[in-house]
Amino acid sequence: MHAYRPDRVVRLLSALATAAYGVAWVFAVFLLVALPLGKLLAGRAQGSSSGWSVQLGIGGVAVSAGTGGGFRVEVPVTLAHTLTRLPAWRDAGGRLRVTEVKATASVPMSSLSAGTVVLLWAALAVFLALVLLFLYQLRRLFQRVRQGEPFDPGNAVRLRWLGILLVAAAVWKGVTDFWLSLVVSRLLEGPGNDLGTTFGLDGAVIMVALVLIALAEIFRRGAALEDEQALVV
Amino acid sequence: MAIQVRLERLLAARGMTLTELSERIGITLANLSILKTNKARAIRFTTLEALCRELRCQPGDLLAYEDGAEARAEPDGAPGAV
Repeated sequence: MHAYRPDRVVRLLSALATAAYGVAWVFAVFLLVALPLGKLLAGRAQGSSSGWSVQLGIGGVAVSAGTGGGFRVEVPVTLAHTLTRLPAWRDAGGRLRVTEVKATASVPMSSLSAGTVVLLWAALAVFLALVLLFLYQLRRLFQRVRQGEPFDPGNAVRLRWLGILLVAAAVWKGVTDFWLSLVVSRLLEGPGNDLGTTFGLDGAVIMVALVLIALAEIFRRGAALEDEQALVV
Repeated sequence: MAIQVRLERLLAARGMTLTELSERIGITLANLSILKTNKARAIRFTTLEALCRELRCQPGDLLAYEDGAEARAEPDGAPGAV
Protein backbone atom coordinates (compact mmCIF):
# COMPACT_ATOMS: atom_id res chain seq x y z
CA MET A 1 0.00 0.00 0.00
CA HIS A 2 1.37 3.40 -0.98
CA ALA A 3 1.99 5.88 1.82
CA TYR A 4 -0.38 8.88 1.85
CA ARG A 5 1.15 12.10 0.57
CA PRO A 6 -0.80 15.35 1.07
CA ASP A 7 -1.18 17.42 -2.07
CA ARG A 8 -0.53 21.13 -2.55
CA VAL A 9 -4.09 22.09 -1.60
CA VAL A 10 -3.84 20.35 1.76
CA ARG A 11 -0.49 21.99 2.47
CA LEU A 12 -1.95 25.40 1.58
CA LEU A 13 -5.02 24.84 3.78
CA SER A 14 -2.76 23.75 6.61
CA ALA A 15 -0.75 26.97 6.29
CA LEU A 16 -3.97 29.01 6.17
CA ALA A 17 -5.32 27.31 9.29
CA THR A 18 -2.09 28.07 11.15
CA ALA A 19 -2.14 31.69 9.98
CA ALA A 20 -5.82 32.09 10.92
CA TYR A 21 -5.08 30.74 14.39
CA GLY A 22 -2.28 33.25 14.89
CA VAL A 23 -4.33 36.17 13.59
CA ALA A 24 -7.32 35.18 15.75
CA TRP A 25 -5.12 35.31 18.84
CA VAL A 26 -3.99 38.84 17.94
CA PHE A 27 -7.60 39.93 17.39
CA ALA A 28 -8.74 38.27 20.61
CA VAL A 29 -6.07 39.86 22.78
CA PHE A 30 -6.66 43.27 21.18
CA LEU A 31 -10.43 43.16 21.64
CA LEU A 32 -10.33 41.87 25.21
CA VAL A 33 -7.82 44.57 26.15
CA ALA A 34 -9.32 47.35 24.03
CA LEU A 35 -12.87 47.00 25.32
CA PRO A 36 -12.19 47.78 29.00
CA LEU A 37 -9.38 50.17 28.07
CA GLY A 38 -11.72 52.01 25.74
CA LYS A 39 -14.25 52.37 28.55
CA LEU A 40 -11.58 53.69 30.93
CA LEU A 41 -10.32 56.22 28.40
CA ALA A 42 -13.78 57.07 27.02
CA GLY A 43 -13.99 60.49 28.59
CA ARG A 44 -10.64 61.68 27.26
CA ALA A 45 -11.03 61.44 23.51
CA GLN A 46 -14.18 63.10 22.30
CA GLY A 47 -14.66 65.03 19.13
CA SER A 48 -16.46 65.25 15.84
CA SER A 49 -17.18 62.24 13.74
CA SER A 50 -14.47 63.20 11.23
CA GLY A 51 -10.82 62.14 11.44
CA TRP A 52 -9.07 58.81 11.11
CA SER A 53 -9.96 55.71 13.11
CA VAL A 54 -8.72 52.19 13.51
CA GLN A 55 -11.21 49.40 13.84
CA LEU A 56 -10.61 45.79 14.70
CA GLY A 57 -13.24 43.19 15.22
CA ILE A 58 -14.27 39.56 15.07
CA GLY A 59 -17.66 37.91 14.90
CA GLY A 60 -19.28 41.22 14.04
CA VAL A 61 -18.21 42.99 17.22
CA ALA A 62 -15.46 45.57 16.84
CA VAL A 63 -13.71 48.24 18.85
CA SER A 64 -12.61 51.37 17.11
CA ALA A 65 -10.43 54.24 18.18
CA GLY A 66 -9.44 57.36 16.39
CA THR A 67 -9.00 61.09 16.37
CA GLY A 68 -12.72 61.63 15.88
CA GLY A 69 -15.41 60.10 18.07
CA GLY A 70 -13.01 58.60 20.64
CA PHE A 71 -13.45 54.95 21.53
CA ARG A 72 -16.48 53.24 20.13
CA VAL A 73 -17.82 49.72 20.06
CA GLU A 74 -19.46 48.47 16.90
CA VAL A 75 -22.05 45.76 17.38
CA PRO A 76 -24.28 44.01 14.84
CA VAL A 77 -27.97 44.37 15.44
CA THR A 78 -30.97 42.86 13.72
CA LEU A 79 -34.15 44.83 14.13
CA ALA A 80 -37.68 44.04 13.04
CA HIS A 81 -39.14 47.05 11.36
CA THR A 82 -42.62 47.96 10.17
CA LEU A 83 -42.98 50.46 7.33
CA THR A 84 -45.73 53.00 7.88
CA ARG A 85 -45.31 54.87 4.62
CA LEU A 86 -45.82 52.60 1.64
CA PRO A 87 -44.92 53.29 -1.97
CA ALA A 88 -47.56 54.38 -4.46
CA TRP A 89 -47.66 51.06 -6.33
CA ARG A 90 -49.24 49.42 -3.31
CA ASP A 91 -52.60 50.64 -4.62
CA ALA A 92 -51.96 48.66 -7.79
CA GLY A 93 -51.57 45.50 -5.75
CA GLY A 94 -47.84 45.63 -5.08
CA ARG A 95 -46.40 44.59 -1.75
CA LEU A 96 -43.32 45.43 0.21
CA ARG A 97 -42.71 43.41 3.30
CA VAL A 98 -39.72 44.26 5.45
CA THR A 99 -39.06 41.54 7.97
CA GLU A 100 -35.78 42.63 9.45
CA VAL A 101 -33.10 45.26 9.14
CA LYS A 102 -29.46 44.41 9.72
CA ALA A 103 -27.40 47.29 10.93
CA THR A 104 -24.27 48.16 12.84
CA ALA A 105 -24.78 50.24 15.91
CA SER A 106 -21.79 52.44 16.59
CA VAL A 107 -22.03 53.33 20.25
CA PRO A 108 -19.56 55.64 22.03
CA MET A 109 -18.00 53.95 25.04
CA SER A 110 -18.96 56.90 27.18
CA SER A 111 -22.63 56.09 26.54
CA LEU A 112 -22.31 52.51 27.74
CA SER A 113 -22.68 51.69 31.40
CA ALA A 114 -19.88 49.77 33.10
CA GLY A 115 -22.25 46.83 33.58
CA THR A 116 -23.02 46.69 29.87
CA VAL A 117 -19.31 46.79 29.00
CA VAL A 118 -18.64 43.94 31.47
CA LEU A 119 -21.44 41.83 29.95
CA LEU A 120 -20.25 42.63 26.44
CA TRP A 121 -16.68 41.70 27.42
CA ALA A 122 -17.83 38.39 28.91
CA ALA A 123 -19.94 37.56 25.84
CA LEU A 124 -17.03 38.42 23.55
CA ALA A 125 -14.58 36.39 25.67
CA VAL A 126 -16.75 33.26 25.43
CA PHE A 127 -17.18 33.68 21.67
CA LEU A 128 -13.46 34.27 21.14
CA ALA A 129 -12.62 31.21 23.25
CA LEU A 130 -14.87 29.09 21.04
CA VAL A 131 -13.31 30.53 17.87
CA LEU A 132 -9.76 29.97 19.15
CA LEU A 133 -10.52 26.39 20.21
CA PHE A 134 -12.06 25.74 16.80
CA LEU A 135 -9.05 27.11 14.95
CA TYR A 136 -6.66 25.21 17.24
CA GLN A 137 -8.39 21.89 16.50
CA LEU A 138 -8.52 22.71 12.77
CA ARG A 139 -4.80 23.52 12.76
CA ARG A 140 -3.95 20.23 14.55
CA LEU A 141 -6.17 18.30 12.13
CA PHE A 142 -4.39 19.73 9.09
CA GLN A 143 -0.98 19.18 10.73
CA ARG A 144 -1.66 15.46 11.12
CA VAL A 145 -2.95 15.23 7.56
CA ARG A 146 0.17 17.03 6.31
CA GLN A 147 2.29 14.55 8.29
CA GLY A 148 0.70 11.76 6.25
CA GLU A 149 -1.65 10.54 8.99
CA PRO A 150 -5.19 11.51 7.88
CA PHE A 151 -6.72 8.57 9.75
CA ASP A 152 -5.02 9.35 13.03
CA PRO A 153 -7.55 8.43 15.77
CA GLY A 154 -7.02 11.91 17.21
CA ASN A 155 -8.43 13.39 14.00
CA ALA A 156 -11.76 11.67 14.57
CA VAL A 157 -11.92 13.29 18.01
CA ARG A 158 -10.90 16.65 16.53
CA LEU A 159 -13.61 16.50 13.86
CA ARG A 160 -16.23 15.83 16.49
CA TRP A 161 -14.96 18.76 18.54
CA LEU A 162 -15.04 21.00 15.46
CA GLY A 163 -18.70 20.15 14.96
CA ILE A 164 -19.56 20.72 18.62
CA LEU A 165 -17.62 24.01 18.77
CA LEU A 166 -19.30 25.23 15.59
CA VAL A 167 -22.75 24.58 17.05
CA ALA A 168 -21.75 26.21 20.35
CA ALA A 169 -20.36 29.30 18.58
CA ALA A 170 -23.45 29.62 16.36
CA VAL A 171 -25.82 29.35 19.35
CA TRP A 172 -23.74 31.77 21.45
CA LYS A 173 -23.55 34.29 18.62
CA GLY A 174 -27.32 34.02 18.15
CA VAL A 175 -27.89 34.63 21.86
CA THR A 176 -25.52 37.64 22.05
CA ASP A 177 -26.82 39.15 18.80
CA PHE A 178 -30.36 38.87 20.17
CA TRP A 179 -29.34 40.51 23.46
CA LEU A 180 -27.48 43.34 21.71
CA SER A 181 -30.35 43.89 19.29
CA LEU A 182 -32.78 43.99 22.22
CA VAL A 183 -30.64 46.60 24.01
CA VAL A 184 -30.30 48.78 20.93
CA SER A 185 -33.97 48.47 19.92
CA ARG A 186 -35.02 49.59 23.40
CA LEU A 187 -32.67 52.56 23.17
CA LEU A 188 -34.16 53.52 19.83
CA GLU A 189 -37.81 53.10 20.84
CA GLY A 190 -39.87 56.20 20.51
CA PRO A 191 -42.32 58.10 18.27
CA GLY A 192 -41.84 57.04 14.67
CA ASN A 193 -39.65 54.09 15.65
CA ASP A 194 -41.52 50.83 15.84
CA LEU A 195 -38.78 48.33 16.49
CA GLY A 196 -38.53 44.78 17.76
CA THR A 197 -36.10 41.95 17.35
CA THR A 198 -36.10 38.21 16.78
CA PHE A 199 -33.84 35.35 17.81
CA GLY A 200 -32.33 33.45 14.92
CA LEU A 201 -29.73 30.74 14.29
CA ASP A 202 -27.70 30.26 11.15
CA GLY A 203 -29.14 27.00 9.84
CA ALA A 204 -26.33 26.50 7.32
CA VAL A 205 -23.71 26.56 10.10
CA ILE A 206 -25.69 24.01 12.12
CA MET A 207 -25.90 21.73 9.06
CA VAL A 208 -22.15 21.98 8.48
CA ALA A 209 -21.58 21.13 12.16
CA LEU A 210 -23.73 18.01 11.82
CA VAL A 211 -21.77 16.99 8.73
CA LEU A 212 -18.51 17.36 10.69
CA ILE A 213 -19.84 15.18 13.52
CA ALA A 214 -20.90 12.53 11.00
CA LEU A 215 -17.47 12.75 9.35
CA ALA A 216 -15.90 12.16 12.75
CA GLU A 217 -17.57 8.75 12.94
CA ILE A 218 -16.38 7.92 9.43
CA PHE A 219 -12.82 8.89 10.36
CA ARG A 220 -13.03 6.80 13.53
CA ARG A 221 -13.90 3.77 11.41
CA GLY A 222 -11.15 4.71 8.97
CA ALA A 223 -8.60 4.86 11.79
CA ALA A 224 -9.65 1.39 12.98
CA LEU A 225 -9.40 0.00 9.43
CA GLU A 226 -5.97 1.57 8.92
CA ASP A 227 -4.78 0.17 12.22
CA GLU A 228 -5.94 -3.29 11.17
CA GLN A 229 -4.46 -2.91 7.69
CA ALA A 230 -1.09 -1.92 9.12
CA LEU A 231 -0.71 -5.49 10.43
CA VAL A 232 -1.66 -7.13 7.13
CA VAL A 233 1.48 -8.31 5.32
CA MET B 1 -2.28 -15.81 17.84
CA ALA B 2 -2.87 -19.51 17.24
CA ILE B 3 -1.45 -19.32 13.69
CA GLN B 4 2.33 -19.47 13.92
CA VAL B 5 4.62 -18.34 11.09
CA ARG B 6 7.74 -20.48 10.88
CA LEU B 7 9.74 -17.98 8.90
CA GLU B 8 12.89 -18.01 10.97
CA ARG B 9 13.14 -21.79 10.70
CA LEU B 10 12.78 -21.74 6.93
CA LEU B 11 15.27 -18.91 6.53
CA ALA B 12 17.84 -20.88 8.53
CA ALA B 13 17.20 -23.98 6.44
CA ARG B 14 17.69 -22.05 3.19
CA GLY B 15 20.69 -20.12 4.50
CA MET B 16 18.98 -16.81 3.82
CA THR B 17 18.71 -13.64 5.92
CA LEU B 18 15.54 -11.64 6.44
CA THR B 19 17.09 -8.73 4.53
CA GLU B 20 17.81 -10.91 1.50
CA LEU B 21 14.29 -12.28 1.53
CA SER B 22 12.90 -8.75 1.82
CA GLU B 23 14.85 -7.66 -1.27
CA ARG B 24 13.81 -10.73 -3.26
CA ILE B 25 10.08 -10.51 -2.65
CA GLY B 26 9.76 -6.71 -2.42
CA ILE B 27 8.28 -6.59 1.05
CA THR B 28 9.77 -4.22 3.60
CA LEU B 29 11.93 -5.53 6.39
CA ALA B 30 9.51 -4.04 8.89
CA ASN B 31 6.59 -6.05 7.49
CA LEU B 32 8.63 -9.25 7.39
CA SER B 33 9.59 -8.67 11.02
CA ILE B 34 5.90 -8.32 11.88
CA LEU B 35 5.33 -11.66 10.18
CA LYS B 36 8.31 -13.33 11.81
CA THR B 37 7.31 -12.24 15.32
CA ASN B 38 3.73 -13.48 14.81
CA LYS B 39 2.29 -9.98 15.18
CA ALA B 40 0.61 -9.97 11.76
CA ARG B 41 -3.18 -10.12 11.69
CA ALA B 42 -3.45 -11.35 8.13
CA ILE B 43 -1.31 -12.34 5.18
CA ARG B 44 -2.15 -11.68 1.53
CA PHE B 45 -2.06 -14.59 -0.91
CA THR B 46 0.39 -12.64 -3.06
CA THR B 47 2.75 -12.42 -0.08
CA LEU B 48 2.30 -16.11 0.74
CA GLU B 49 2.98 -17.01 -2.88
CA ALA B 50 6.17 -14.90 -2.95
CA LEU B 51 7.40 -16.45 0.31
CA CYS B 52 6.73 -20.00 -0.85
CA ARG B 53 8.47 -19.29 -4.15
CA GLU B 54 11.66 -17.88 -2.59
CA LEU B 55 11.79 -20.31 0.32
CA ARG B 56 10.87 -23.28 -1.93
CA CYS B 57 8.23 -24.53 0.44
CA GLN B 58 4.52 -25.19 0.80
CA PRO B 59 2.14 -22.91 2.73
CA GLY B 60 1.79 -25.67 5.28
CA ASP B 61 5.55 -25.55 5.91
CA LEU B 62 5.31 -21.85 6.62
CA LEU B 63 2.10 -21.72 8.66
CA ALA B 64 1.08 -23.87 11.59
CA TYR B 65 -1.92 -23.88 13.87
CA GLU B 66 -1.21 -24.23 17.58
CA ASP B 67 -4.30 -24.10 19.72
CA GLY B 68 -3.85 -21.69 22.65
CA ALA B 69 -0.41 -20.57 21.48
CA GLU B 70 0.68 -16.97 22.28
CA ALA B 71 3.07 -15.00 20.07
CA ARG B 72 6.48 -16.36 20.86
CA ALA B 73 9.86 -17.04 19.16
CA GLU B 74 9.99 -20.22 17.06
CA PRO B 75 11.75 -23.24 18.59
CA ASP B 76 14.72 -24.64 16.61
CA GLY B 77 13.85 -27.63 14.43
CA ALA B 78 13.67 -29.08 10.94
CA PRO B 79 11.60 -27.18 8.41
CA GLY B 80 8.08 -28.45 8.03
CA ALA B 81 8.03 -30.13 11.45
CA VAL B 82 4.75 -29.60 13.29
